[in-house]
Amino acid sequence: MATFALRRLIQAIPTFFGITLITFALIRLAPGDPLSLLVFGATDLTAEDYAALRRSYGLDQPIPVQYLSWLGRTLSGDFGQSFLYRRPVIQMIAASLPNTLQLSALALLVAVVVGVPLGVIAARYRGTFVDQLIRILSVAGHAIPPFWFGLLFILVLSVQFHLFPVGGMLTIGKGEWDIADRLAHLVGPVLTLSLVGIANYSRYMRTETLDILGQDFIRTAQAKGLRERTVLYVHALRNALLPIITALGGLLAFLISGSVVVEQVFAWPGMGRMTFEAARSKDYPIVMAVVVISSALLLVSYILRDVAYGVADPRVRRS
Amino acid sequence: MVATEAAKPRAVVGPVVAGRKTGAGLWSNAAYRLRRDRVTVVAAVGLALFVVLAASADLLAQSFFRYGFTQQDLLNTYAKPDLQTPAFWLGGDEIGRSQIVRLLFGARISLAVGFGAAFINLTIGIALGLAAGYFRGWFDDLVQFVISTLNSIPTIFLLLIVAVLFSPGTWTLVGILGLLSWQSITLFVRGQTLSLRERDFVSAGRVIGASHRRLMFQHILPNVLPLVFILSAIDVGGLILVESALSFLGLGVHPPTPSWGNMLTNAAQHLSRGPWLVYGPGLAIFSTVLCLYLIGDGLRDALDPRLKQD
Repeated sequence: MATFALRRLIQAIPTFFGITLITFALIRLAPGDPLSLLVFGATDLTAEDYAALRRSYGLDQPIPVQYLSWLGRTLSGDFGQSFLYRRPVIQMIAASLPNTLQLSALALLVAVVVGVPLGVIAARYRGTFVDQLIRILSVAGHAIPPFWFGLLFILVLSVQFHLFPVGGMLTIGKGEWDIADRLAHLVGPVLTLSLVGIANYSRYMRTETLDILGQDFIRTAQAKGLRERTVLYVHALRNALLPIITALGGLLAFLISGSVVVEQVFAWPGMGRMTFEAARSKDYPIVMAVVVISSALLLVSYILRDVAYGVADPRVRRS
Repeated sequence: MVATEAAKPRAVVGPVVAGRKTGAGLWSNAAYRLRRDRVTVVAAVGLALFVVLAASADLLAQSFFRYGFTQQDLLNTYAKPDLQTPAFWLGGDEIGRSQIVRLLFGARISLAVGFGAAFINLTIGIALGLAAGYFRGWFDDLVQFVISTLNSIPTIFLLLIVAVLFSPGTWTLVGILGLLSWQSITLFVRGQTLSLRERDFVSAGRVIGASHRRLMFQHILPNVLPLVFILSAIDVGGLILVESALSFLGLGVHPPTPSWGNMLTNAAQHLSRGPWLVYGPGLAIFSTVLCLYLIGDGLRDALDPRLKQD
């Protein structure tokens, strides 16, 4: 098991360098001067000042040297300063990442708690109206644009019925630990973000449960007179749980991507929204840091997923 | 004629598989099954309707609605949906533009971006996947490495960066989306090719001295293609969703060109005065993507009944 985990870890190293290379190349390929935002409005800037500024950012060095020095700083946790806010990027990320993680973790939880039973129910009542309904809902969950669902949520439940706040994370004036207020703000974004996950899980679980239900040990369990519920939830479900781990990879990537749009709709002060604003104002240090950090997070969760899969299914370890 | 005669003995030997005509090829069998799949037929008709409407947007705007997509009417700002004037069937926006005409032109953008980018995906995916699966070795390693690297970067951030850097027009957007989302099709084609290249008919081809090109394109590719079409129907749907999200964020198709995504950006800013502006574009995206996904599902069941999920 340890060798399996270690091998997976070593495989991730070149991928990480690939990520940094792509990020750096994209930003350096950008038309225009990376310093344009920094010197914006500085009318008394002389050519000498500008050259000095370029030198201080290392922009006069050859590109490979620039890449290596950026990589070195990145690896030691120094992501530089935001051009726009003149604050260390790492501080800004530390302030917004927890908000995003809070959202994604809850969305993941909702996806599993709602999606898995839906899939099992669909398999149990296969071919009936219930099954059809769940299948339609699952396709619809994939096809509905999350930002539109969010807008509808706001329009109907917040603007018309005043059930939930329109956006943001906390009501001004209420304490940070006002749980009810916080939960009310979470309902919309979490629900919106979890739709795809619910659809994914109900679909996966249906296929997997059907597959398991056709196997011999289920017939044995039924033959020895166990209650149907016991067969379904103890014997079948346990074996059908692998897709939860399998689907995790794609879902995590989606949660990070989806957070940009959902945070924008619900004015949630997370990393996605910050990155979007930064990208729009060409605040490159923030964008580069976010890409590297979120990719690293994704990479680590892929490894954890594979290891978890190895723990759950010993066949994986050998291949 | 030969086909039907050859089919007869087979029909006598075993029971005819339900939904399968004897002696018919893969495609005519699939078409036969598809015609019996009501959901897929409805979805296909729906998609066809969208395509026709999008194609005739100019004509409809001129002769039926009598309203251009950039035409403004300050007397009709926030016009409520109204059945009297065709142009305001779905209401008007904050500067009195016709929502329904803009939806029609938006359909053009969404479908063009979706199908265009999917075509690029398909081209790259088939070429790379086929070559990687067939030749294996270092080329395969390289392709796999690039894919796993790209898959580790959350797509939206890549798109954000590229969209900001190149501030794309519609066709650049097609290129960007196509160049950044070919991974899953490539992996699929590669996997299929890997298993097909070990099959007897490919070995037989190799033994009689067929060239690599012939083996890849005449023997392996025809067996991969049907399944790839299923993936690409779903791919088009996904791409339309991504385009609308990007446009919604203001990084995709830029106003005044209407796209379903940027119409929703607009609607979001006028939620309280024109709530009806939210429904149309979202419903259009939702139903188009839904049709494509259902068609993908239906095609899968029709082309390979073994995969059918019930």
